[in-house]
Amino acid sequence: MFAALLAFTAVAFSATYFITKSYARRQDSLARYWLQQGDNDLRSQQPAKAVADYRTALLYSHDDPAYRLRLAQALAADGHTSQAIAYFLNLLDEQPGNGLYNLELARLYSREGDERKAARYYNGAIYGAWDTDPAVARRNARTEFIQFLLGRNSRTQAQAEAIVLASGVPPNDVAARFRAANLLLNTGEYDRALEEFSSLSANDPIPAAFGAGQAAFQSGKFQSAAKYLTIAVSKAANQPAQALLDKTKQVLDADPNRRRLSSGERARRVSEAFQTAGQRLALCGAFKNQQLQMTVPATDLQKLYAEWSTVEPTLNEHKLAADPDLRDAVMDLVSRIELTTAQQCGTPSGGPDWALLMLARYGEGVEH
Amino acid sequence: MSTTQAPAGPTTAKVIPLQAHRSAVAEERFFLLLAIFIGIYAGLAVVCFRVAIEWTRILLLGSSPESSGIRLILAPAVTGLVVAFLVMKVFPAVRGSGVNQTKSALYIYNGYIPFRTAVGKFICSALAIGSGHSLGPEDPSLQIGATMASALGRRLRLSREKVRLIAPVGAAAGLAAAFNAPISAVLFVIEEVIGRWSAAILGSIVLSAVSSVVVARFFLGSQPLFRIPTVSLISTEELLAYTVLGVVGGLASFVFARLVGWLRPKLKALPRWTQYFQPVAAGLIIGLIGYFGFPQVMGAGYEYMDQAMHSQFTIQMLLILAGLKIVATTLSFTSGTPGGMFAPTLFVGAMLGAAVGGIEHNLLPNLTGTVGTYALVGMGVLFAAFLRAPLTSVFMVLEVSGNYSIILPVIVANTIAYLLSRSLQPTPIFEVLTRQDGLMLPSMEEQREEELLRVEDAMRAYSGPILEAEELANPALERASSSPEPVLLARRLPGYWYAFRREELRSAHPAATIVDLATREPLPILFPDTPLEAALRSLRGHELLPVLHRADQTKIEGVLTLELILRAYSETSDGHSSQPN
Repeated sequence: MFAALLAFTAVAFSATYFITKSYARRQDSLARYWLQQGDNDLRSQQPAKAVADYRTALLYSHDDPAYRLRLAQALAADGHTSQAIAYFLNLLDEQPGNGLYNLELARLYSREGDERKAARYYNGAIYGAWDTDPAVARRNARTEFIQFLLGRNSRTQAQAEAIVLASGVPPNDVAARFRAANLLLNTGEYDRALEEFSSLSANDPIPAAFGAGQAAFQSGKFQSAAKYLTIAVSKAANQPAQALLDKTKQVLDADPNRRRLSSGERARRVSEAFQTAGQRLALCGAFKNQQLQMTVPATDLQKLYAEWSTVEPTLNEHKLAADPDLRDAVMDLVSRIELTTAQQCGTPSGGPDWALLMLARYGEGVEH
Repeated sequence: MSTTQAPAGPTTAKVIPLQAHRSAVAEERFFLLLAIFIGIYAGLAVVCFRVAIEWTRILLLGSSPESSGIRLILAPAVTGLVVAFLVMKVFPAVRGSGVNQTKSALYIYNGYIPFRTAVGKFICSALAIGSGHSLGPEDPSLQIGATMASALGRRLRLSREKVRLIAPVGAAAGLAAAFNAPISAVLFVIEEVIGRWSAAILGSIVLSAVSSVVVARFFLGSQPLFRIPTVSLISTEELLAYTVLGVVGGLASFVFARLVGWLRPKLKALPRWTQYFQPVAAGLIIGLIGYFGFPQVMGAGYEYMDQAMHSQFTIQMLLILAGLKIVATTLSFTSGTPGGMFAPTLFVGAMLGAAVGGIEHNLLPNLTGTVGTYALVGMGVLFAAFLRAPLTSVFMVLEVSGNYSIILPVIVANTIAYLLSRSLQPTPIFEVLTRQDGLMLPSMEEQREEELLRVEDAMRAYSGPILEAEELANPALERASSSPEPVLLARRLPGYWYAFRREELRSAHPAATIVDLATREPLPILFPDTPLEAALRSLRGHELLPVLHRADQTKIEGVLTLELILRAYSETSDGHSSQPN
């Protein structure tokens, strides 16, 4: 009896196996067909149709993560963020370390404005497993993360990530090194950016010089900036580099502490800066509807004007040429005026005021 | 009464029961082994059944559920005619879901279900569900499993008792394979088919359910019926939100059950020839619903439950789908089209759950439970309220979700829905259907709640003296002279009690002690919490039995007689009959 039961089981099992295999083949062909349809629709910018196609494909291939990935990507493209998230979370449950799923989730949470989760999944993507070219994929994920951080003004964290990124780039991958140097520049790591761009000058001198010029300018190294930017514009017209070079020259022309200047020239520059600052102060007072001439100054602008008007009657280029301490004291007052007026009345877009503001901002850090 | 010990029988007299016992043990073991085979066969049948449904759907409705066209209208209507012909002419026993038919086999036909029922159920249900009728494959799977088991039991010439018990074993296997959830299947069969926990059959049911799920997973994969969303309950205050779902589910199940209960007898009362066209009309209406923008209500609809769980429908759409599914399922089911109610119930629950979750999220954005969680709980809610299987409903959600953090919302919402549904519609839907068919099957719900009488409800105080072991018979008799008790109780050791009639003591030798007279088997012992039914069996051959204290079996709590038992039952039935309806 037991043998008969076993024999019948074997027959029934074989028959079911045959039936399910036939159906599985049919399912496979339908799944592939609808996947192809979905790909076509996605290529022709019809994500809604692609979603329906991928859903149909999934009816016939429940387990295939590639199909679910396509559907999730189509949902994301069609703006169904929460549905796409649900799919990616399910996929991630099955492969918790998958870099691509983490990256897609990071993008979706970023789109939803959930910074905490976006950062978490970006980190998952950076340290996750990637099927092809993992190093490049991780670098790209980190690059995207840095851009995400910059978009949310998390500059400090972005700097840290940019430093890690730059340190991991292989020396022979010039394009990646340029990207890393640009990220250092964008995140405010100017000294490291300058270093990177300088080291790239042998590979591609013009873009490297432009990058180095920008980095030098941003870190207050105006003389170096002028040097690099001059190289950048030397071979071919480069409008942004030329504009930055002009600005750099404006700052250098306004700097009384630049090397190899005669004391007369220094005095002239200080005197000119003093007058420019006075005019800026008067304009800012008017802009803020403040009477600057007060017996008892109360506001910052009034106090600065009181200082400026005390110095103004006795100041001349002879005294300035003869007294370096006086030049420093006057430039200190000019710096304070420029910083305060920039704070209260806005940053000037150009001209001598802007040049003086640059000198004031970088203060001691200015390369003379 | 006979208090004298029956003389020990000859040796051969004891051999026969031993052989019978051995034979019974062998049959028990064989039954367990058979349960595994039943599970395998049921699993294979359900796998083929599911493939047949899918293949039919592809052939009749096309490979994409989104594809619209005239065949959305034609397929269910034309198939309805074919199914109606098969049901009327070839397989008359395959009408309905299959749950009541299995119960009928158990309680009326001694486990007999003709094998052609499985064939008919397979063909007709696959055609109906595959063509878009709003029915599910679970209940037919249950019946297919039960039928196969019954046929196998008869073929192997099992005893009548085993043949009667074998149908639920197959039912559990069929349901487990269809649901991919063995625990829920076992519980459902116990809760809704057998009605009680029976050790005689529990092992077989579990074995068959597990083996069928193993087979189904081998062929169809182990993935659940739906992708389960992230489910969590962070704050217990959120349980209040789930109570709303319980209330909504209770009301919806009441409407659903009322609609089915109202329309079914109306359609059955129509002339017989109309029964050929009732599935056609139902199919036509469902096809039109699908054609005019709601193909989701066609078929079992698992893919759409999945989508509801992942917030892929608007609240309005969810409510429309829940309403239309109730209508479509009522039409399909009451027209006599074979197919199950489980999947439509889960569908309605998922849609309502997601809708309630969505509305609550709009009103209270701080709720942490996802819409998917509400959809999942909603499925359990409808299962508890509509099918009246509260225990199964809880375990089904847990088993399907694989997440026990959801247990509190499920219990709260299911209990509320169940109680509300009971108060609005006291008769469960399966019982309504059996009554409409003119059958009187035991109500599982009533059985569960039947009051259990215990010895303490019937016993009285013992007013006679307790005779001690070393006491002489004659003084003992004198001591009992003023006692009205017809039988005197004597104790020898804790738990060893004897009963003596006065004549026995009177006829004893003057020097005989009570222990000398206590040569027969001691009395069966009872405790106050012993069920009265068990006590009745113990009372056979005894006029009176002592009721002992559980901690001190030398102490008597009271005595029990046949008359007292009858009086207790009589008083209970009087109390019940005097209760208002």
